[in-house]
Amino acid sequence: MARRKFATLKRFLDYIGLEGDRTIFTWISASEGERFANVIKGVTAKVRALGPATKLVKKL
Amino acid sequence: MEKRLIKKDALTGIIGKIAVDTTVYAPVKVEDNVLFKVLEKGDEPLVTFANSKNAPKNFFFPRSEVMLRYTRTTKGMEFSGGEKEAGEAVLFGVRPCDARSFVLLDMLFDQEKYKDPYYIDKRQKTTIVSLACAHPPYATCFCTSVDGHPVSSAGADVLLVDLGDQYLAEFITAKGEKLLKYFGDAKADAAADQKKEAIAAQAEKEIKSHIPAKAIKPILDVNFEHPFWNTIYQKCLACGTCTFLCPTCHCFDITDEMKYGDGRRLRNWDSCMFPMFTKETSGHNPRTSQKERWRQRTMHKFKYYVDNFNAISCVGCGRCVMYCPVNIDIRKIVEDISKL
Amino acid sequence: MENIDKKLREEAKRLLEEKKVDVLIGYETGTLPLTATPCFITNPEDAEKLVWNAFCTQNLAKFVHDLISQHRESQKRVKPEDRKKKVVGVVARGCTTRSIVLHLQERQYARDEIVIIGVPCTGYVDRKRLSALVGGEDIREGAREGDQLVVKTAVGEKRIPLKDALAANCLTCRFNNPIMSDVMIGEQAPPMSPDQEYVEIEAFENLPTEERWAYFTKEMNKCIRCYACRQACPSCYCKTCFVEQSQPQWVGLGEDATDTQVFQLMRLFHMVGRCVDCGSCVSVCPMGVDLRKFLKKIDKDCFELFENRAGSSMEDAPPLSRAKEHDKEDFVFNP
Repeated sequence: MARRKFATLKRFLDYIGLEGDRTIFTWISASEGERFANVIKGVTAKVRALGPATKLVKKL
Repeated sequence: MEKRLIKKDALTGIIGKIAVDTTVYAPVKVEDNVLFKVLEKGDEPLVTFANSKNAPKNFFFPRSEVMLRYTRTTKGMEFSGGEKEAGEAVLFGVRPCDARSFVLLDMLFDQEKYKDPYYIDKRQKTTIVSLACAHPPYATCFCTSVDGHPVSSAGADVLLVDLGDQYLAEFITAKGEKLLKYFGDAKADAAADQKKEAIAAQAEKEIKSHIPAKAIKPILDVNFEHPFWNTIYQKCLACGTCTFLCPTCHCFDITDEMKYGDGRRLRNWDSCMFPMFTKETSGHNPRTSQKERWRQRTMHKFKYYVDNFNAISCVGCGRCVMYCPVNIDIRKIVEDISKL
Repeated sequence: MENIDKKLREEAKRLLEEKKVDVLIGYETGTLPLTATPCFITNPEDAEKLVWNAFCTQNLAKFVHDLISQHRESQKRVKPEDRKKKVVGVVARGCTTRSIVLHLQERQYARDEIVIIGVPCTGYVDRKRLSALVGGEDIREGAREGDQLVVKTAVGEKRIPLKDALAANCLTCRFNNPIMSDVMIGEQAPPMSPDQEYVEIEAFENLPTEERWAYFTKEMNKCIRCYACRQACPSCYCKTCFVEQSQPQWVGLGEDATDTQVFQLMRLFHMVGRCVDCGSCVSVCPMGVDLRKFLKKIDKDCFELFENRAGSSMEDAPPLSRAKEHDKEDFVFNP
């Protein structure tokens, strides 16, 4: 179910024009320490490349 | 009172000139909607239009308004004011019904017991240029049933009347007279006045909707518990269309918003149609269903406002009639109440 | 059409007289030209008011849900042995029955609490489209003559082909006949053009990201947060909408553009596998926000990914309540 929700959410956010790389999903087991580190490295690299978010960010 | 005549094709130019010197809000076509907005370079203000979708009350009583701001510091909360003070502005092309809504809103926001600084500041600095309805635009217009008139100057600082070949500009108030310089020096003669009278009489005749709005107050006084209230609300969706488009609805709700250490206090439009309306902190709501909410809306407009200010809080613009998604027609409700 | 009205009234009257239903939800003629409006009938004599025509816009399943949930709520204060069941009758076209299927699948009420009078549908008139077709002029009078609408405005009379004024969702409707019904009135309606249903969405998908974002923000800027879309939607039945929760407050209530985008985004996304494309939200919106551009995308994805069309059959369970082993995983990030 979660997988289905994420599949549609990612597509939908991309459709309305949010950068696709800002929403990232993956499966990690509690035992996969190294994989976890790699995923986080990958995610931060992607987000860093995009720069600070401007869409859907509220300014008071 | 100063009066001027201007050529029909000169009007857009005049608005343009005023817009150079001050902020001008005018009806502009935005896709399929006619909306009031700040005139910017390249915007073409409409001079022939029916009426705007949104009521111009937005300019004095915005949908969202910052009342104050605050910052959390090590020494406690530091407060600062809300929106910066309003600038001078001209609200151009207001229909007489909507202009009258300002008279009604003044009764509430600028009264002896309470003076609303946010509203009054903007209201005082804004000049209202009204555009009379030589031909009432909608079949649902019923301004004459609620003390209005398609060529009324109530609430306006300047009234423009389309005389066919030219416009008659009447400068009603001192604030209005400050705009005199833009309108040339062709003074209006008695013939123009006569023509205006004829147009006013004709416009009044063209109003096809008449409702006994003034007759229902004594009936509402004694029929709070009448079974009639069971008959109108069922199809109501409980959306805010009628109240948000209404020129006189003025209920609001105050909320705080915070982000990190900074916050602001906002007042936002509320609607008596929302299930959240008058819901108390305890979770209890004295108005338990849409029935009570509809009674509130009707009573507020045709009874409570009359009790408090001796005026019906409806200007007969017909927006709620035209845009209600389920066709709840206030004209029919008033009609039915008159027969109770 | 008169024939169908007659049959509908007879059937409604019979159901009320025989006490098969406690209340019947249908449409009656509105107070404005070329409109119909929901009505609630309890007295058999009032069945005469019922109409079924191209001006019946609202999806009545919303009211079915409201009435039954209100009734159930009121029964909580009644001793168990004295509790009564309330049966609601409803005049339902294809999309209304799809919403009812969803409600049944989501266990909102039982099949024996409703009686469905099915009606065939050839689409309803989109008032905003009609208004645009007469140049925004106030409609003073109107009538349908065969395949045409005769509309009188302040500037004159205009004849408009009915098809030009139909709502976009109706033109490409796949289910314009009831999915289920207890009584069916009239003949099956001829098919619309469902093969065209995603044309607009595919075109939008192919636009550059920034253009799509620009369109989304432009449309959402029109929104005045009157919540008409949410209120008209049969699938939006949460007792307390996330917008109205205050502890925590998920989204601001003011005019802030981001708050409005978040409200709309969340509402739209709650429609995965639940939007039946009835067009009610679009038709009630006073500002003309193009909600369908986004809802139809959700419908498209649901079909592409899960082969589901919301509410199209009782056997086809809601897609987010189940999963298959071979559901697509291509969106998963694997560095």
